[in-house]
Amino acid sequence: MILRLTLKRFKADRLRFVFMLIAIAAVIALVLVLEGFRAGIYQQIRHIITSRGADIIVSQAGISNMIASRSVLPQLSRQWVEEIEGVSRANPLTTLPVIYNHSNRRTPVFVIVYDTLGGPKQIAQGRGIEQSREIVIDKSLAVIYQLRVGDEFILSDYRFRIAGISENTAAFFAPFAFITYDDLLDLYFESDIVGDISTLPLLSFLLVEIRPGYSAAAVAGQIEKQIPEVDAWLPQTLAANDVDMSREMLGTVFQLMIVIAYVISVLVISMIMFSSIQNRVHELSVFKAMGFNRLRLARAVILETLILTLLSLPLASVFAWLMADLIETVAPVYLILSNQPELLLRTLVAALIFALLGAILSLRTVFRLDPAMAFRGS
Amino acid sequence: MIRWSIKSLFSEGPGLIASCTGVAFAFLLVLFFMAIFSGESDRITAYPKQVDADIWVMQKGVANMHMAMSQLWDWKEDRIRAIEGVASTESILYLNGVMNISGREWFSYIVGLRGRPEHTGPARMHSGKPVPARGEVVIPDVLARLSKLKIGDSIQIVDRAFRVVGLSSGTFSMANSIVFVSYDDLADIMSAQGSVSYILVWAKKGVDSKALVRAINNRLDKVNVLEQAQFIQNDHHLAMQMGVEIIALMTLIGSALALVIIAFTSYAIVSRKKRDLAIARAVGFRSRQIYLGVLVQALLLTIFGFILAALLSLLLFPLISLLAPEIALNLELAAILKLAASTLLVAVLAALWPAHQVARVDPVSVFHD
Amino acid sequence: MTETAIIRTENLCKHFGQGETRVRAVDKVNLSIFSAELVLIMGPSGSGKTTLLSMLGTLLKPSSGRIYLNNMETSAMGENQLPDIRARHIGFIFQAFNLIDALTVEENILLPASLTEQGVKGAAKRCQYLLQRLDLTHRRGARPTTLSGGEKQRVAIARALINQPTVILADEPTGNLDSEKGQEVMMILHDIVRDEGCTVIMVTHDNRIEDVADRLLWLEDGKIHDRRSEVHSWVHDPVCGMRVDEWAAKIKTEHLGQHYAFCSQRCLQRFQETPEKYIRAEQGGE
Repeated sequence: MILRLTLKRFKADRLRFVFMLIAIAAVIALVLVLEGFRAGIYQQIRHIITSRGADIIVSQAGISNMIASRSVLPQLSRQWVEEIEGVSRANPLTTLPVIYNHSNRRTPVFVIVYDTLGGPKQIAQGRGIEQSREIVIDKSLAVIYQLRVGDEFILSDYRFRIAGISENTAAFFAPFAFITYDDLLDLYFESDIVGDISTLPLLSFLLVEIRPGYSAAAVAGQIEKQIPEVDAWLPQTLAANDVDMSREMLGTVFQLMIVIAYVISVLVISMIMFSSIQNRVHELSVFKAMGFNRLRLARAVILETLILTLLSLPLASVFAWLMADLIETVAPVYLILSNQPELLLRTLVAALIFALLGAILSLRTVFRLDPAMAFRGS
Repeated sequence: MIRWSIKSLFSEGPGLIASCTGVAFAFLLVLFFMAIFSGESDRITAYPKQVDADIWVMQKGVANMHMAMSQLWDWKEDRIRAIEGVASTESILYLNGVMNISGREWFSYIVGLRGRPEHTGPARMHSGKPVPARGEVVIPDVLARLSKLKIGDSIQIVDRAFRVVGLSSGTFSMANSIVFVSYDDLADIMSAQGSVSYILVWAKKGVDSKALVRAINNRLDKVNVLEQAQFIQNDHHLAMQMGVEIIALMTLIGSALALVIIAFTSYAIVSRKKRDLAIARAVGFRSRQIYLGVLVQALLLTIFGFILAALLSLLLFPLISLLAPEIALNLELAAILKLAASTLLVAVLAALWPAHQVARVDPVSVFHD
Repeated sequence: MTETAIIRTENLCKHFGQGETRVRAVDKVNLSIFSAELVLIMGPSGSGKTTLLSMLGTLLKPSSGRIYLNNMETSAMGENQLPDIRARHIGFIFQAFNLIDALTVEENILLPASLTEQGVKGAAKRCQYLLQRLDLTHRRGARPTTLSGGEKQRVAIARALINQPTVILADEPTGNLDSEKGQEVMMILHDIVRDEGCTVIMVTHDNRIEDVADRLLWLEDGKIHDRRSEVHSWVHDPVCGMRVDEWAAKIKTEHLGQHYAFCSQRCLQRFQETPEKYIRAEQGGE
């Protein structure tokens, strides 16, 4: 009866019901967006490392990160690694942090220099690099600087032409760009401003492909054993290290923001339920007069709160998707994963807890209602 | 009508408190975002500020420190020192890198100090010695506390172990803690013997920095020479620009949330007080007077929420920075004022829907129960 | 055989306020009401009738005194026990109907049944009976907002009866109805007493039912008197001409061997100043 009454009440005052749903959905969407923001940062880091196409990634000994680290491998390390049993090919990769300066705006960019493996996988516009002096840039750079395929892109004083615009190639709040080794060497030799080549990391990592039938972990172990100057990692492990480090850096900040969002959710649900109860004070006094005790009334209030919150979840999901889309369109360097099943489930549980907490204020009003009010006009 | 709108707002009691607090937290989220970026921008520029050189010399094409790679031959420092007007110079080698401390990794700026530097080492020390020798490192005191390290313990940078000999103050940040090692150690790690990243120049008393900048440019090629203020501004600008879109978006989202809360509260009040409004209309109040009443309610809610947010931020942000030193929060007056301006817009928009409701109140309903 | 009272009160008091502003709404009321009685409680506006009804219905705690319902001392019960008493033993009928707009007629009637062991399903048959009895069958699926005043009150009566309560407490049940509908409701309540054996205690200003009520209680200045309609003695106030019940009137005087009753002190004062003016006017009117 209580459930039926609750649902009928929503149906009877549809406008109010919709407004309540929108308000609750908006705050839950905020939680989803912030959680999605956090998840997106970690996912970007994971993706940029694991999508390089390698079975094993070799770094300088002592370096256990890829994005934020400076790794310098000896020039002969490629040859050494390729001599290890199980290794099919070792592909060189260099990562260079640079500051791109254009139209009076500076943006840090991670440049990935690749040869036979490790280039951009998802090209949204244009194509991959096929000629010299070509570069592929991340979509966020294209949006910030309003660049298109075919436009010029100057790094140091070296002129590249944009061959393609890639997607999902940003991490740590910075976009990535891709060039080839030939162009890196040309840049160093032709540029008027780049420092001495001997001080620059020409080889940061090796992307190792293994032969069929070999275990990546076993081959990585052999590489480390036989070449003490290097460390060998499974891409997932290296990615996890970078994710862990970013968690250290950003974890507390995100946690605080999410806590603020949680508090807002509880407050909004409290406010909505309180307002709903205030609107029905006379009706509730009649219920009390009829013999509904505190427990039944409390159950009704809690049920109404839970139902409202549950019904708002799909709308919250839509709002979150829209917000995420807006953020990713305006600032494509960010990835907001607001609709992952695990996150939705976690938010569902959190939302139900918010609902219970939000019902507390209203319960106080209900418990203190005077049933004698039933004799007065509404 | 204004008096009615204020009285009916305050008669909401706990509901009003819940609404105001909800609005306040929505604004607080926005202020938090702004404060985070501003705080990190400040921390990014903490080292150049503490070095307090007059001029910074770096590789041509480089104009800042954060995430930059600069390389100069160290003999260029000798050339600079010989220029008239130069009081002294120091140079550093510098690397963005990762340290491994007690199994945790920390992103940091590693500064290699040459000789006996007066300015380029840590400005303030918590304990220990400020200038590390070979195999030694000076780390931020906050980092030591978070990692439960003390002087004499060991950390790893790249593939080398360093012994902690000093704890510096004011050098910790979420994204770029500053650690100091000897130049020789860092040069080995970077294979950069014979080169430096930045040359810092102090002018003699009475010497104009701009003139000195010109003189250095004339004497050396393939360098970029900047006054300290410009150098710091470049880094600050870079950090802020990295956050400009997301700050704008979070402002929009936070404000939209505040708008929804205020609109709902106003709508709930109008809904409950329809009879009062019908009486007002029956008595002769015009629609625009009633709209004004609704707008005043929305405005008051917004203002209360904003003031509460500002107060909370002034109280909480320093407390957060104290309890969680990895978070740098800097709330600038400009940020608060910018948000204040947007709150007015929020109030006006939030009043629209309740105003529409008001327009539909039929004065004849006073005769109904 | 002595019949046991269904409702009994002992020195029942209810005050509001303190000190100089203290109001005694109900002052040492001793009452016994028996099964299948139709009892009217009448009195001037603000005399405490609704307060008395609220206390009998366990909605209001007395300041002092006792209330017994079916030999249970309800005045001594805690808040956690009273809802059960109200659900099983008491039915309420309000002046403002107090129907739940979101529910249909049938659902409104069945609402109190959800509080008993039999539940809504168990009460379905009784609901059918009441719908038929109160001529509401054709409106069972309608919402209260579409009903007339008379229909709403009939729904409220059915709701009050669904759990077969010991007593029905009705507060001005015809207050919002026109003469015809009011008459209809009154007769329904009278028939309930006769057919269901239920006690009905009604607060009303409506004189029409006096003739069919078993008891007439007059509440004024906190005190209650048992009154019969034949004790009414209607005279006119010689000053203003208003009809006054000589039996109940508090403001009276005697002049030249004649008794006069007045509606207020002011009229008495005027009469005492120039009695011949008013006596002459009265005689002139005769």
